[in-house]
Amino acid sequence: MVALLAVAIGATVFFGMATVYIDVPVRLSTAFRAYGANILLLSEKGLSSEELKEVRNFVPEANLVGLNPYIYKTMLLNSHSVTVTYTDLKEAVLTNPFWQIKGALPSERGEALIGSDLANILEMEEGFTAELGDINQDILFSGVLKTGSGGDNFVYLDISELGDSYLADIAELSVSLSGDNLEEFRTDLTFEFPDITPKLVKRVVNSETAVLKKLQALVLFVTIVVLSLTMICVSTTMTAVVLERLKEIGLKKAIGAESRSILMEFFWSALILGFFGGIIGCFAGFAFANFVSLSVFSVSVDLHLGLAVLSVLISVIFTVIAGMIPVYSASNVNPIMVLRGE
Amino acid sequence: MNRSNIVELKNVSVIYDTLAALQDVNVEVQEGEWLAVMGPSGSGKTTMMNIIGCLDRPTRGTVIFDGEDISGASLKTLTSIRREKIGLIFQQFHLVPYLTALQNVMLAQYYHSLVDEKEALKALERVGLKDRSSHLPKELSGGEQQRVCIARALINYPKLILADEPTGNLDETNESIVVDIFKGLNAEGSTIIVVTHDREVAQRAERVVRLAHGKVVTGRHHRHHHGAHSPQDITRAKPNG
Repeated sequence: MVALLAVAIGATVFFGMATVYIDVPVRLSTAFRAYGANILLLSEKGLSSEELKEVRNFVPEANLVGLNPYIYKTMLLNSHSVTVTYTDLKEAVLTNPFWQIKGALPSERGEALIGSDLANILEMEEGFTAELGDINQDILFSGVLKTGSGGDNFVYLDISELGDSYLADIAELSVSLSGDNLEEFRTDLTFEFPDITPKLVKRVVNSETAVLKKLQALVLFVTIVVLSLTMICVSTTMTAVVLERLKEIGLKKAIGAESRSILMEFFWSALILGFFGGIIGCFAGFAFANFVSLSVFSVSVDLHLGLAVLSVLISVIFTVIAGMIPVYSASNVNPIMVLRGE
Repeated sequence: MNRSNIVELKNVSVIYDTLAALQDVNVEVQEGEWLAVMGPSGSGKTTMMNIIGCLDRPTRGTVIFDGEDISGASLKTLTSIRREKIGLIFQQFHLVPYLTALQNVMLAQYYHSLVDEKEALKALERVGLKDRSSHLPKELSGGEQQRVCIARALINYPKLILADEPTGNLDETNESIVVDIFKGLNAEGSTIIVVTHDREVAQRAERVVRLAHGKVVTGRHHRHHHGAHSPQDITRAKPNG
């Protein structure tokens, strides 16, 4: 029972930590998307609306966070020269989750967002209307946008104001990929769309990769330390179990059991022990990993069946090794010594 | 009646470092005989039992078991002889604590050939413990545990039953029960060697070999016992020197 518990704890630690180790990059990659897009799409001749639709279809749905084009124009707003940005505002808030809007997103034509700094300069706020020079149209600012960057001096209009067809200056793409996977995706994009130059947003990607690497290294280090300690515990427990049964081994040898029979008996016991300990460990480890993921990322972890099989396998192999080493010496004991209690 | 020897020790010595536990011991035990080995602590009784029981090998001399010279036999051969031809009974019983009385008996069958529950129950019945077959050792008295140990020793019909202080941990009543079982077994033709301190137990045996300081000092024959041997039988255990 004690041995089963020790093996189960070992398997729990392995399965739980390994699940966290595998899931951390995925979870963090999604979490990092809160810091904005990780790919910029550039093209010398501009990005047509059709091209961007194709790009959108090319990105795996599960990894697509947002894709939004940007068209910049300079216009007069109440006689002030301002930069007007046409973008897909609904996508933009997905790509830039850190945007803070006081008021609401434009819901009809003729509505716009005004950057918070610009609103301060022009002493405007949500609900104000103003004349936008070049298009000779009064627009209603449905909200004030705070981006925390230079974008706070812009006016934002939805790209639908330009009709279905347009040519964007640049586009932002946010995908929940990181590290090598992101680089691979960028290569695929280049290959698929030779006219488009996808550039990784170094600031976001580098810090994301650095944090991920450090975190993974930390999880790996903790896993190795905890696993080593658990292995020592399992091994000590198995040794204690074998020593406890030393008299029994001596008796069996005295009544004619071959050392090999004793080794095989313990081998099967260890195998069964490792198997059931491993299975219990998988359940407990999954619960543990889920708890960690829910607490930190508020998302449950996926069950990795391959990892579960590996955990059971490792648990069986380790239990057999940890058990067989003391059994091997015990099976060679002189039955006289053991039965006399020496 | 001429009976062949099951055990012959010829000039057997067992020396641990510089200590001689047995010195030039000569003993013969015939099939169907009940022999008691007596002697004070440190006289070499247990060493002699270990040699006869194929648990140890002599430093010098020859050991013939069932016609085969096993003096230099491998551990594997000795294990096989223990399994096939010897039933061991211990002072401390040595029952496996998590197995029932019946399973403890079947354990010896398991290493010998095939387990047979009916046969094991019969062995327990023979020692008067059929009703206690499903009990764990801790639920049995010392006497009952020793009887389970005897049933385990009998189960494979050994050529020799070897008991090391079988009554050492028992009260008088249980001692008497155990000795009566030996008597019954011997009457049925089993060869029994009992190593004992107990004079009364030894007196029930057919013959007594006394040891002192690793040497045989006397070999006394009890004429009251069944199947009495001729006077020259006494010389089968020859005092040293």
